[in-house]
Amino acid sequence: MQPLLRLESVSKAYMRGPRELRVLKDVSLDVHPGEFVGIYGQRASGKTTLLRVAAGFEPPSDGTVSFDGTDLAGLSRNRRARLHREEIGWVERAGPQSAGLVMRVYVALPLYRTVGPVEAQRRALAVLSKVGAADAADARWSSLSDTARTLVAIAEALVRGPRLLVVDDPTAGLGIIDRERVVGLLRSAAEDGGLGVLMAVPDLPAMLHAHEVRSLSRGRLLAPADPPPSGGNVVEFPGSERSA
Amino acid sequence: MMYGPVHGIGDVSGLSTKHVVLGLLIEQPGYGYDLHKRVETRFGFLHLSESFVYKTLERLEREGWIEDYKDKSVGGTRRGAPRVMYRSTESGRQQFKDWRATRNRRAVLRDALQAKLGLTEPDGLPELLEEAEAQAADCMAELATLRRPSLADAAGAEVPWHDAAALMGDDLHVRLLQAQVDWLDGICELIEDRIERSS
Repeated sequence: MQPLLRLESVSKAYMRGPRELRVLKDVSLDVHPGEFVGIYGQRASGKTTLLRVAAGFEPPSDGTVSFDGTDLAGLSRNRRARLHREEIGWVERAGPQSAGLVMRVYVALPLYRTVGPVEAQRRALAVLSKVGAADAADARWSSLSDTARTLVAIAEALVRGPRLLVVDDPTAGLGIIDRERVVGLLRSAAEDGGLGVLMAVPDLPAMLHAHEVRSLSRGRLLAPADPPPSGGNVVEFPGSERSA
Repeated sequence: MMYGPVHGIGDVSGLSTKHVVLGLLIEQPGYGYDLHKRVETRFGFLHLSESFVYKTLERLEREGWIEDYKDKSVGGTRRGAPRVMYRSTESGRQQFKDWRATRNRRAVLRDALQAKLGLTEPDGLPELLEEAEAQAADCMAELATLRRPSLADAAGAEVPWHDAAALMGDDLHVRLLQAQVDWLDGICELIEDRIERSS
């Protein structure tokens, strides 16, 4: 099956004054439809850069990023803007630019141009309730908890009916149960909705529900982990209660 | 108190797998296979094998903390014989109570690589780097073994206590992995830097 998203030998460097800062080094990665891929990395490991390049918001310095077989570098600006409006949902806990918006309007905005305000808000409500954030429909961003903000951000991406979700640090500041909810939701977006989901998080427990977990370290993406042959280096418990 | 290392993460102080199996039997009687399934679901981090669970049951029975009985109502074995079921005894329940009331010391970390760091000369750094990188990969592989479906539903129903407890257990396990991965990552960078400067 052709991957939905493919990064091939992607590198990304920025000039910081006279010095070149290499943020991504030779990164290759596939995300298939229905697959939930997690990128783990510490702060400042290049995760957000990786996501921005993967989503087509920034061009790679080297290598190619293709979506559904098409090299993003070859697309016109208009075509790329349409991709971001319809097919690639970017999830980040940023909130609306205008603080006065209630969430049912914020989530509906991406659809205003195509289906009109009434239908857009109807779909926004449906998505908000699907992600478990129906309560937030008439609230403003400033009054929402971190969990509700994350769910609204996911709804704002999902309302477009995208094929790919690119999710930046959705679990920051969440407790165990809410983290479980949010990541479980992303996994079901992949498994039940057939979306490709690419998530980056500096928090390893958030990776428990990803189908594949890759670790970004010093700009390099480590190879996918094979489960250990015997469940790891498991040895004796105290009092040698345990059989070998 | 004796300590033994677990998963290369650290040491466990006084973790008694016997009491885990006993506690599950107090919750509900069961047979060997069924208990192993319950241990896996609720205490997967222990990585107990099925044969180990059987041995534990024999030991618990010898101690008089559990007893077996035959229960024809619970689907028979392949040969049609009634299942050997186990249930806790009064003395087992008292044992379990005592165990639960005993406070454990926090688990301590004793890592071999940590010791090697201090005992390696500069010419040994490349091997040390390889070992650290391999351990970081092992951590990610171990994470893969903990994968499971989400226990909480986005729509917001209350998570049952046992599920919440399993989550908390996994959370500790994965946080320890994360601490280890981050530490390994950091020392790899430093070691790499040393190797580069010395060459």
